[in-house]
Amino acid sequence: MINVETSSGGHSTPLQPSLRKWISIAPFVLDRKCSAWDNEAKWLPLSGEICKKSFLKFARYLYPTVICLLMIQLYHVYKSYEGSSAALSDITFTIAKGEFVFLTGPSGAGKTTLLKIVFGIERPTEGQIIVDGRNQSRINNRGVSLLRRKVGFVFQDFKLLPKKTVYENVALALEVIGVSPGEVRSKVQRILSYVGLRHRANFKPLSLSGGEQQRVAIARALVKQPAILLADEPTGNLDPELANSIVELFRDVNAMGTTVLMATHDKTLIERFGRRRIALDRGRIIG
Amino acid sequence: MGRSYSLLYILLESVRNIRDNGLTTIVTIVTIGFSLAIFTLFLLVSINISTVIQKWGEQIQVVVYLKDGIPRNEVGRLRKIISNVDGVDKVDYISKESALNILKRELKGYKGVLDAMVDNPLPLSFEVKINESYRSTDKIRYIVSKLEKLEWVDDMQYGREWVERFAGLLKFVELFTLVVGVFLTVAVVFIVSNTVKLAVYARKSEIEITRLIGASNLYIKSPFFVEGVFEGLVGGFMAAGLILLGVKIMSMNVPAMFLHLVAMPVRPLVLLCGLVVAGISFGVVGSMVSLGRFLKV
Repeated sequence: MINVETSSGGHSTPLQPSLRKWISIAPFVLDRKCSAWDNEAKWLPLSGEICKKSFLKFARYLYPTVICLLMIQLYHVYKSYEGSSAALSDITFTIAKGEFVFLTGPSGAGKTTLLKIVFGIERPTEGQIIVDGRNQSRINNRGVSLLRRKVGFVFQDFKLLPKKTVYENVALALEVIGVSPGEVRSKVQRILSYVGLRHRANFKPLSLSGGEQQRVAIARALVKQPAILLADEPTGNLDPELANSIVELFRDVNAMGTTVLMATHDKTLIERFGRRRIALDRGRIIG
Repeated sequence: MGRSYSLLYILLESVRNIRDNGLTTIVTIVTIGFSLAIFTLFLLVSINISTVIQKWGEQIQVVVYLKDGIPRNEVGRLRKIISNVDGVDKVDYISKESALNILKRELKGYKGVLDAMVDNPLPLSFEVKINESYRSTDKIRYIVSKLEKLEWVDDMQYGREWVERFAGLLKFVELFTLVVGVFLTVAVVFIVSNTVKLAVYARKSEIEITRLIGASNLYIKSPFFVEGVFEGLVGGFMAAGLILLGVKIMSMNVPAMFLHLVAMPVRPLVLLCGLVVAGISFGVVGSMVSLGRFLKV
């Protein structure tokens, strides 16, 4: 297995549960407009104005540091489509840098919509989404492109270009971010070996099996060494053995610092890999 | 992205796309080519018809016959007065001899009739050419009313029926050209823009996927821009070729009296440049407009 570096260059290990929990709570404590803090400081279990002010001053300095440790933040996100019931209702959660999170729930629970919103394909009807420190409601078209260069997305339907070969499909992810041809060549060959498809480099996607196409999609998502990996049912078309190997691959990538949010309804996988879980049902977080 | 690498990528990607979407590219080129050719042919014929009509219009004149015995110095004075009347462009003096010569020329096969004439019975006259803006029945009547009041003027002739017919024809041709021109322009823009749109639609998923993996809009648009230029360029050349060929075939087959209708009013190089610019505009604008809607993902 080859090394896949993270874009940040860091090799952080998954965060300790206690630290992760504190980071999850932190935004609710600290994500206030500074000017409003003094008025809203009644909730602080501190006595005396000086004490409160000192804490808030300290918190203001701490805030950027804490925010840096959060990769994905969703606050009261709603999504509804015209003529149908809400696809997402009051979704609030945070995912810390380097975390591996399973997004679970039955079909129609809103997993794909949620991933699309995080990736910027769809806009929420209401709520705030901050990915890698950028508030999605404030970024323009160019900002969306820049964000997507840091995020790898494995689509449920692969989204491969049928007229391009496996090699070209994977290479495109690097070409769009301006990597030099030589570097593209070496990185693509390396990632294709990593997913076991080097021998299929010159094949067109449609001549591959579903599992192989899935791995091409994974290779394309990973080749740019993303800070975040979003995967929508990446094991849905695979047999259990291959599904395990894909999740192991994600775990390796995660171990090298990439934050992973993977949607799946495969309970066996979730239990086997035992990571944090966000469960959705009918557009709401249920656990 | 290195600039040279970007340009290289754009060119390579464009060549690859043209190759991969060969049939769509050909259909687009042929549509642009034929549409431009049809439109240009219509323009060509319209321009030529207008030129012919304009020439006919130049023949509209009032012939002022003078009374016999007019003194020579009066002729000059009268000519000056007529020249100053509103709507008069030019006044030509026709002496009795010139009039006879013209008559002889026109009655070439009937020489005997003229030989029988002992004296020259033809009067002195002025041929008054009318300004373009006065070539309507009412305005000519106004000029005639002014002229008939002049001393030494005997009679006048201006082919009233012909002027009326000419005015009617001019109105019809103008209206016909406008209506057909508008229809044709709308049809050409509609056909070409839809063909280009369909060509872009055929690559909808490719555009969306490229956008989803982080490509900037410029990165996606650039190959389409190059392809639009290529299709427009080839389409423009094709249209020019079709027109030149068509004109050549027509000029070989139409009767001589209609030759001026298919004559080329501009130089072939000017025609080619115009068509290439029009073709490129169609190709590029069509692609960019159609592309816009897929770049919102």
